[in-house]
Amino acid sequence: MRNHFDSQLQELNLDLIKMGGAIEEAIIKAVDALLKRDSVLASEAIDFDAVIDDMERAIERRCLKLLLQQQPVASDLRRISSALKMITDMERIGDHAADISEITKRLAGDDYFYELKYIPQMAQATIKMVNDAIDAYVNNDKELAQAVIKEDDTVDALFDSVKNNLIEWVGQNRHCGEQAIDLIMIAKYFERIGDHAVNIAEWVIFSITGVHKNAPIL
Amino acid sequence: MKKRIFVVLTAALMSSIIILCLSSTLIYYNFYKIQSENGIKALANLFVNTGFSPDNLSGDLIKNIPYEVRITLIDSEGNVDFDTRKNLKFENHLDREEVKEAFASGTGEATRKSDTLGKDAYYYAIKYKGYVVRFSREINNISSVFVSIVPYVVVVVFALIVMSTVIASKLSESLIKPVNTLVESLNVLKRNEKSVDVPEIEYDELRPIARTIKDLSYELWGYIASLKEEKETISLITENMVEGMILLDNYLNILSVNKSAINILNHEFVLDKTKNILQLTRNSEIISAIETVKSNKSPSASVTITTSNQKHYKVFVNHAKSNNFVCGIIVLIVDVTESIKVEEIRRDFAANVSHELKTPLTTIKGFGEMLSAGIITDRSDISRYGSTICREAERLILLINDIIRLSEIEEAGSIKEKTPVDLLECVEEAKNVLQKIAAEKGVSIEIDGESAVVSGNKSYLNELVLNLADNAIKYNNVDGHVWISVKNFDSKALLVVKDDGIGISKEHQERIFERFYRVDKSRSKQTGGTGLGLSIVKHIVNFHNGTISLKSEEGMGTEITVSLPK
Repeated sequence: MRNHFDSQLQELNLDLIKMGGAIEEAIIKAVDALLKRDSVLASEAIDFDAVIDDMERAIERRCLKLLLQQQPVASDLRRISSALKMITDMERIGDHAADISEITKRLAGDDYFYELKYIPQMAQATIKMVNDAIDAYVNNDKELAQAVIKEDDTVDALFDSVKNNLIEWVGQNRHCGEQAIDLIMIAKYFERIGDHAVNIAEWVIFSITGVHKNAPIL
Repeated sequence: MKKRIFVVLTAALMSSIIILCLSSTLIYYNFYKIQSENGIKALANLFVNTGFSPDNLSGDLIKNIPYEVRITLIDSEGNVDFDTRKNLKFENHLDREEVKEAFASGTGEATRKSDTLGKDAYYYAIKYKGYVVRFSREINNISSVFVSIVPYVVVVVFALIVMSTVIASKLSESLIKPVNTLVESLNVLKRNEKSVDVPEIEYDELRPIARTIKDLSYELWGYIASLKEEKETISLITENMVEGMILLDNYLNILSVNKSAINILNHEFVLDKTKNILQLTRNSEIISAIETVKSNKSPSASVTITTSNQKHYKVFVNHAKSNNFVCGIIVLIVDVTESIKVEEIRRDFAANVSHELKTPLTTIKGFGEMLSAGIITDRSDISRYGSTICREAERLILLINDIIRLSEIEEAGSIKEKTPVDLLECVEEAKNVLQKIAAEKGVSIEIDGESAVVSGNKSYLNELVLNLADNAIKYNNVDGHVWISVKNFDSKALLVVKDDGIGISKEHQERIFERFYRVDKSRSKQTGGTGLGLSIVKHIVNFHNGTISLKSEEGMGTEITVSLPK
C-alpha cells in the first residue's frame, strides 16, 4: 500500500519537474521570438501554452485523486498541497509567456524603434528565477528557494529601469507611443513571471519546512 | 549444542546405569537364591543323617539353628507336629506342594509365598520315618532387593547429572572452539580485508571444511580482484571520455552517469541516491527523445541540442539490450560544436568561391553580349567596355592564380626544397614593391630589426611578407603607420607586422584566415584583393612549420606575429 503511494508520489514529482521544464521552454521560446522578431517562433510559443494547460489539468487530477484515495498526512500532505498551488503559478507563467509572444507577433512586422534596453536582461533574470525555483523543488533545496525570493528585487529594479527609459524615449519620439505601451506590457509580464517564480519558491519552502511566508499554515 | 550433548550424555549414562543395576541385581539375586537353596538342602540332609527321633525335635538339636531357618515336622495326616516357630497357628499342610512331593517321591522343594508367614520362602521337604521334615528359609523377592538398592541408584544418578553437565560444557567448548576459529576467518573474508589465513584445526573431521574455506577464499579473492580491475577499467574509460554517457533503467532512473555528462547537462548534479533523468536535465528535446525510445516507438533516437554556452551537442539515445531483452536506455552526448563550425566554413567557402568567380564573369558576359549585339557603337564606349572586360578577366586570372597558388602550397609539403633565406631581405624587398602604393595612401612603412636567416622557400616567404604588409597598408587610415620588425628569438625568427589601422573586431578574428573570408561583407572592390591573401599566408606559415598569431582591436590597429623555426 505504502509502496504504491510512494510510487504515485514519485510520479507526481516527475510530472511537476516535466511541467517545470515545459514552462522554462515556453519562456525561452517567447524570449527567442521577441529578440529575433520572429513571428513564426512567437506563434509556436503561443501554441505551446495549450501543452502547459494540459499538464496542469493532469497534475491537478493526480493531486486530488491522491488526496482522496490516500488521505496523506504530514510531509506527504505538504508535498501534494504545495504541488497543487505550484501548478497554478506555473500555468500563469505559461500564460504570460504566451502573452509576450502575442505582443511579439504584433511587433514583429515593425522595426523596433526602441533599442531593447534592459528587456533582454529582464528575460535572462526571470528565466534564471524560474529555473532556480524548479531546481529548488527538484533538489528540495531551501537555500536556493530563498535565493529565488531575493532575486525578485533585481527583476523589479530592472522593470523600473525599463519604465523610466521608455518614459524618456516616448517624450522624444511622440509617434512611438503604441510600441512603448507594448514594450512596457512585455516588461510587466516578465516582472509578473518573476513574482510567480517567487510564489513557486515559497511553496517549495512550505513543502520542505511546513512554513509558508514565515508563518506555519498547519 | 551444549544442551544436546548434556541430554545425550545423561541419557546414555542413565540407561547404562539402569541396565547395569537391573542385570547385576538379577544375577546377584539368582546367585543368592541358589546359595540359600543349597544351604537349606545341605542343612536338611545333614539334619536327617543325624538320625533324630521325630518325637523329640526340640532341645539341643535345634538350639543352634539360625532363626531364619524354619523346621517343620508334618505327619502323614498333614498335621504340623512341630515347628520352630512355635507361636504360630498351623492348618493342614498336606496340600503344600513340597509336602505332597515329599510324601510321593521322598523329597520335594518349592519356592512360594508362605501361607503361614505371608512371605516368600524356599521349602525343602524330606520324608523321614513316616513324617516329612520341612526346612524353609525366607527369601527376599527380587523387587524388594531392587528397592533396597534404589537409594544408591538415586545418589549415583544425581552425581551423574552433575558430572555430565560439566563434561557437556567442557566437551562442547572444545568442539566449538575450532568452529569459532573458522567463523572468525570467514568474518575476515566478509569484511573484505584480505584473503583468509585459516589456522590449523585439531580435529580431523573439521579439516576438510577449513581447507574448503581456504580454497574458497582464494577463489573469491581472485574473483573480487578481477572484478575490481574490470570495474576500474570501465570507470577509467567512462570518467575520462569526453562524451557524456548516461545509463538509465526502464523507469528512467539513472544507473550511472559520467563526469562529462554532468559537466554538459547540470554541474550541480550528484548521484547520491536513486534519481530520475528529469532531475539531471529538463531539456525537452532530450527527454522526448528518451521517451520515444522508452515507449518502444523506435530503438534509437538522436537530437542536437545547444547549451547556454553556445556549444552544440548531439545526443544519441539507444536501447540497452541484454539477451534480447531491453534492460535500460543508454544516452550518449557528443560534442559536435567543431563539426558544426567546419560545416559552416565549408558552406561559406562554397558560397564565396562561386560568388567570387561569378561576379567578374557576369560583368564580362554582360558587356560581351552588348558588344556582340552591336548595341554599343561609340568607339570610346567600346574601348571603355573592352577595358572593363579586360580588368574583370584579369581579376579572374588573379583569383584563379591565387587559388592555384594556394593548392600548390598545400600540395607542396616537403617536396619544395628549402634554402637559407634572410627574412630582413624579404621585408626590404616587400617595402620596395609596396612603397608606391603606400605613398599613395599616405601610409609610412618603417623597418627595424636584425637579419634573421630561416630555412625556407624564398618566393613563398616573399609572398608572405608582401601579403601581410599589403593588408597593413590597405586596411589603414590616411597618415597611418606600418611597422615591420624582424627578430631572432631563441631558435626562431620572429616577423611582426604592426599597423595603427582600422583593426579587426573580435567576431572576425577567428575566421580571417579562412578562404574568401572578408570582414567587409559587402565585398567592396575598393580595396581589391581576392580574399585569399591571409589564407595563403597561413598555408605558407604551415609549410614552414611556423605559427601565426593575431592581436587586434577595432579602431586601434592590428599586430600579426609570425614565428618561423630556423
